[in-house]
Amino acid sequence: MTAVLAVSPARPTLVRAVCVREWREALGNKLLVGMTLLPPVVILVAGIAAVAAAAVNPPSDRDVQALYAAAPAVAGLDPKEAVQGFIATYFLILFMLIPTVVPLTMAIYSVIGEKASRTLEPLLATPVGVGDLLFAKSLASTVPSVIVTWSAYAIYLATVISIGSRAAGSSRSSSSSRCSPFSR
Amino acid sequence: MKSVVRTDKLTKRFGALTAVDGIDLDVHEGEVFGFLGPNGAGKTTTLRLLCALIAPSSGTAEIAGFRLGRDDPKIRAAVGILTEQPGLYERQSASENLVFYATLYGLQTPVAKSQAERYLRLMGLWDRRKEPVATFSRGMKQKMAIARAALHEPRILFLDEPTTGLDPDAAKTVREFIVALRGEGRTVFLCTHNLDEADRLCDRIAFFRHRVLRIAQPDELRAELYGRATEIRLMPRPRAEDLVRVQAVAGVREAHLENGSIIVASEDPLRTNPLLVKALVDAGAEVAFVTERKAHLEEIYLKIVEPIE
Repeated sequence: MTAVLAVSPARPTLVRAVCVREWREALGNKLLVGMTLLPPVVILVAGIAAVAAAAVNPPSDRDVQALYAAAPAVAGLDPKEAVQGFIATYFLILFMLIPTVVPLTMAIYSVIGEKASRTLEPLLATPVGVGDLLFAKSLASTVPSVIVTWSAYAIYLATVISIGSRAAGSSRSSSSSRCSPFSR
Repeated sequence: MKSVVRTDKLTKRFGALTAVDGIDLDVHEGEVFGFLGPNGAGKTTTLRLLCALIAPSSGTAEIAGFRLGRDDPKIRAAVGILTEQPGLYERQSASENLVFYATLYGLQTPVAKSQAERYLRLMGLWDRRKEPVATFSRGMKQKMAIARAALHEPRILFLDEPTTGLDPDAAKTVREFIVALRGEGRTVFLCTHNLDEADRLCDRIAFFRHRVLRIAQPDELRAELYGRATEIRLMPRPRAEDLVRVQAVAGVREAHLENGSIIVASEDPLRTNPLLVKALVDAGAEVAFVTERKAHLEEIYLKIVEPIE
């Protein structure tokens, strides 16, 4: 009789195997990919749209005064830039939801999906401890959330900077063209 | 004979329901041990207990030399289980599924790959190793699940309904695999409703309904419950007076008509059968066949399991 080959796997090996399997499974599931990417995409699009809208529509004097009073940090800025900066900063708070929502979606699918597809029992029948398995599954859902959060943040930052600098450029050129007769 | 599964008053309760009621089992190394019982008898719960998937309410068990409750990871490493449902990762290929599980059983990557290849070939699935399991038939998935259970060369394999829903060809592959495992000296703990399969494969059978009702070899049960029976076919068919004549022969314990044959139970058929034939021929009956009759396991099952219903 061939000797029993099984032993408890080393934790790094287990974590790697579980992560690779979970990611393969997740990438093959369009619904899960959609559900995972929906919150960051909505936050990203809403944030960029709000900043872009602020760049297009000049704020009223009353709004600007209220903003300067509420957020002294933007007091020295041009009114349009101040509004953009205020919106961009406050949308950053929503980005903090991404590391909560993304791993939650993945972890729910990971555990409930295993139960629904009857794969949980064979998994628990292996010599792997439940704690190790949960640790590996947590890591498998946390890593993509960190990547998604930072990617969304990078896209947001780049887009907002680009909108801001374009708006600032146009407002400087329009103000300089308006100011030129007076400067003479 | 060396024991690989030994339980002492092993009990599992779910609230008010006692699913497994103080069972005492002693399963030997290298045997195919049948575990028969009606639906809801607690067979699957027993399997889960013995594979250290759930904790017992009371009682003790030693599996492959390890103590249940104390050495659970070691027990899980030493046994393989085929659950009621194949439970495979459908989006992943056959090969990926097996290599993943081999990794969880602690096999190094080259060993995991070679074991996956070995069992995929053994189950006739090697040519479809790269295809997602979702494209497989029920039989192929079942074979995959059996391959997964045996991947780490466990000492004991717990198989829960391994041939249910399989076509005859796939069922034959599975039965041959079980015989091969016994040939290698592994122990197979077989839960099944297929009594013919249990009769063909099992060295011993336990009849179970929440508790063990009886453990014995199939032939031993036949001899005990029915004696050694003889089936006599007459041309064109037996008459009532033929049965009376047979019942009058010395050594006959019981005789009855069944499907156009006379079934005779006697203590010593070698001595009684010639007397039976002579009595029938003398009475003018035309004897077409005299054969040994093996009682079906179903009859034995119904006799042991049904009465307590």
